[in-house]
Amino acid sequence: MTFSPASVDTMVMLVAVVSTLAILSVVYRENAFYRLFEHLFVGVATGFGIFVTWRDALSENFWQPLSHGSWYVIIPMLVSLLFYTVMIPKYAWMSRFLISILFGLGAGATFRGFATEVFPQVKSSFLSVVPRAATEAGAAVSTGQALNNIVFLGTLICVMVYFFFSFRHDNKIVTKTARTGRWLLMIAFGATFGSTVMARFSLLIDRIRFLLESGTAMGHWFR
Amino acid sequence: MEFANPFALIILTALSALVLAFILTSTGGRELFIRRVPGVDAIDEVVGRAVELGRPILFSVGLGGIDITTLQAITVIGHVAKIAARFRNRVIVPVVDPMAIPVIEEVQRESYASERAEEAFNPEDIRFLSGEQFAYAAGVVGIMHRERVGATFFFGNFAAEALVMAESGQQVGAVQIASTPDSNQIPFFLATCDYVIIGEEYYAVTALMSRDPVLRGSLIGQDYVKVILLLLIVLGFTLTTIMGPGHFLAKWFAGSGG
Amino acid sequence: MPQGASSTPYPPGLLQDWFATHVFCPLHGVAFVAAIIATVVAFVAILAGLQSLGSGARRRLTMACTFVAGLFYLLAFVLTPGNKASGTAVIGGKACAFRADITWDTAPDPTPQGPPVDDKDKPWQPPKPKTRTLKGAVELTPAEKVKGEPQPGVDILPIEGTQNADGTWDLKLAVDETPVALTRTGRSYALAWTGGSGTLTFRAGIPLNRVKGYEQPLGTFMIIMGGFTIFLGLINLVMLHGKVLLGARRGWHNSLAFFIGLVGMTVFGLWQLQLPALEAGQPVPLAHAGYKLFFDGLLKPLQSTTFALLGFFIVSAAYRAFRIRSTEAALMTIVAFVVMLGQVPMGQALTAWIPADGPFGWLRIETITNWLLTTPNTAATRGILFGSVTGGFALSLRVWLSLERGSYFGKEF
Repeated sequence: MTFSPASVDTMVMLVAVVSTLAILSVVYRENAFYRLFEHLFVGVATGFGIFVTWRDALSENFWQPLSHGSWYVIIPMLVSLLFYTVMIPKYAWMSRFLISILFGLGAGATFRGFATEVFPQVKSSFLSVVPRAATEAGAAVSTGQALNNIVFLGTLICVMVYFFFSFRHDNKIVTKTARTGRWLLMIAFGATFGSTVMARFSLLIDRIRFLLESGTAMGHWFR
Repeated sequence: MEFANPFALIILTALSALVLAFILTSTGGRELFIRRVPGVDAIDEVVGRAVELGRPILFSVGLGGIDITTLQAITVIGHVAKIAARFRNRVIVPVVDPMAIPVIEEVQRESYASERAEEAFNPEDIRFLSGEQFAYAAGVVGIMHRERVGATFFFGNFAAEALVMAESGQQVGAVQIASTPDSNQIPFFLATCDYVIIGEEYYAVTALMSRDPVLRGSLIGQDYVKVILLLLIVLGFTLTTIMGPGHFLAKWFAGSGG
Repeated sequence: MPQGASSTPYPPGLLQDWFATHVFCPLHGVAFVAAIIATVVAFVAILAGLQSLGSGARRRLTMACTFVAGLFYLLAFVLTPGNKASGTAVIGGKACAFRADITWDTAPDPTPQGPPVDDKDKPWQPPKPKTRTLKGAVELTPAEKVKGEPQPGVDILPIEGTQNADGTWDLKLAVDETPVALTRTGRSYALAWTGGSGTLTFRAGIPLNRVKGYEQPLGTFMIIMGGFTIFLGLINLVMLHGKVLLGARRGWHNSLAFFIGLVGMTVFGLWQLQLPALEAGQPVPLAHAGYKLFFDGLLKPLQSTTFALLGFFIVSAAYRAFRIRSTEAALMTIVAFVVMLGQVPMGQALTAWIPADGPFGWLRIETITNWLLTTPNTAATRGILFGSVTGGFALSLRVWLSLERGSYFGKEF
């Protein structure tokens, strides 16, 4: 059975318009139309997950090697069965055994993450707070940049002090630094918030444009 | 860089030793001071509000799978479920990673059993909502409205879907508490949630809730790790100011695994 | 890199090649079936053994395995791979630095005869031997004097070579068209080229890291294991919606929609994979039409519209933040407003009258926005990151050493 490309595109567009309207309707209130498409969405996304798991993970790493004689790829499959022991209380501890090992692996990876995430950022916080001429090791620092660097380091220190848990805030220096840290955090959060607004609007504008263009296209069909 | 240099090895060892030393001090019986975090104090109160309203609690662990961040959230689920179980209330936990299902199921079952409320626990309250970020968000929004949740907890790693869920929580009138170690979603949680536990406070929640000496000692060790980082930063920028950017400390850090 | 060749900056894992040649190699026919049966039997036997353990033994075993798992990644990171060599060359009585990178390389496949064969259709071959290869240079002049590309023989002396089984190195000086082999005397190598002569002494790093090589097979193991956990999620959803649908409970039509989405996407997705790719303008087979309907008609618009809901929600969130009567919330809202204005032409027009290069140029809204994002925002984000990563580090340490307390850890096995 085959279909003409135009009829498939028309059908796809119609369904896409209905899906878009269904999700947008939740802005007014949660309703039966939204609920239906929300369930459809979870179903389609789960189906897509199965499809992608097969295409990108299991077909290439499991099925193809197995069909070429690599018997040992069934070991991870057998091990994955331990996850399912949670359904049988007598054997449920085995899922905990496996998951603890996974957390152990995660812990090891975090040690590495500490070095790879934190150390380069510590290094890039080594800034000059006085103007300097350019050298082989780095670019010139102007007076403005030096002032900026002071603000940068001040913010970094205040924010780090804010997160101290074991220092009593009856010490005036600690209290004032932590308080400044809280204010600076709010400025930073405001900047993050403000920088995201336009990107979010453009997503919405994109969907509205899609609806308008689809409306025009459908108007032509029904004319 | 894929490998640590000797400098990174020394730093990692020293920092680990520091955390372990404080754990030992704390388990040795020494009472160590830890300041309060208002959001953590509010956890029990938020559960209580849902109980008063007779509505279930929704606990989202975000987009995390089996990792250290989610582990922390799972420990909080255990605590929340315990209080909820006392009042035969439900805790609905939607997840994106199927591997998280057995862990959360075990923790919840245990919490309900510890309060002799096994009958109030329904494994179907742990809901897989596909592995896709926005299908998950759409599903959570649906659950919030249909179940008329009284309290929502957002603990874990979140991305853009955070605001969709937190705004919907506001729409249903739930008391909301959020905590994430990632700075990008904190502003949106601050705007939509009643309590927000930010940044590193996320990892302090269990120590503050439980008063367990291991956790408290570890939290204080963490503070001293940051003191060392702070001293290194101050030393680094002093050296950069005096000697320029090519000094020895910058070179050590440059080759330290980053 | 040529077909079939590989190069890594670390040595193969301990016994990795032996395992790949003697244990984990493909089998066919009866041997294959026997291996599968034996693996399943061994697995069941291990499970039975584990089940027979007492609670204390289970706990100790879990602790030990968790420790080993964490240790694996830690060792893969901290053990030296021995991928650097350094030394000194004495040329005309002057000492010059020698630096080189070391890799473990395999030879490329022989030139293929006939049409290229897809990797997955190639017959199995045992792992190729790896050669420890060195590539580096003697720096003839201090680096700062070098302008542009260093000139071989003038600025640098390129040196490459391979290590022999006895640990010695066969080195070549690659200044001219044909590399010249270096003669070794004890620990030194004689250097001679058209521009001069000298001796080279160097030390190669010790390749202690025999763990890193196992990261790739472990990654594949995790991919397969993770792939099979999809059924955990599937069982969860099917049970929930199946009960609603079969019991014709309230909202059964929603559960039906769930099943239509699930089955449709899975079936059409997997079916269209078996067919040739769709060509423009040609009639569309059912499999492709169904896949397009579920993917382009449902999944994509549902995803992008849920994402686009943020366009509404960000406004209500901003309004909510504005209504919080606290100075902190007000500060956050004001900064957000300024940054938002600084990113749109209308906002930028408000301060466009201030000359950009004048003394008050910094008061222009886009300059303030840029400063807010690059200075306080970056610094505060970094401060949060340092704290969060430290928190994660301490938690990891507790998990690794089985010191963690809480619901999931520290209870009976």
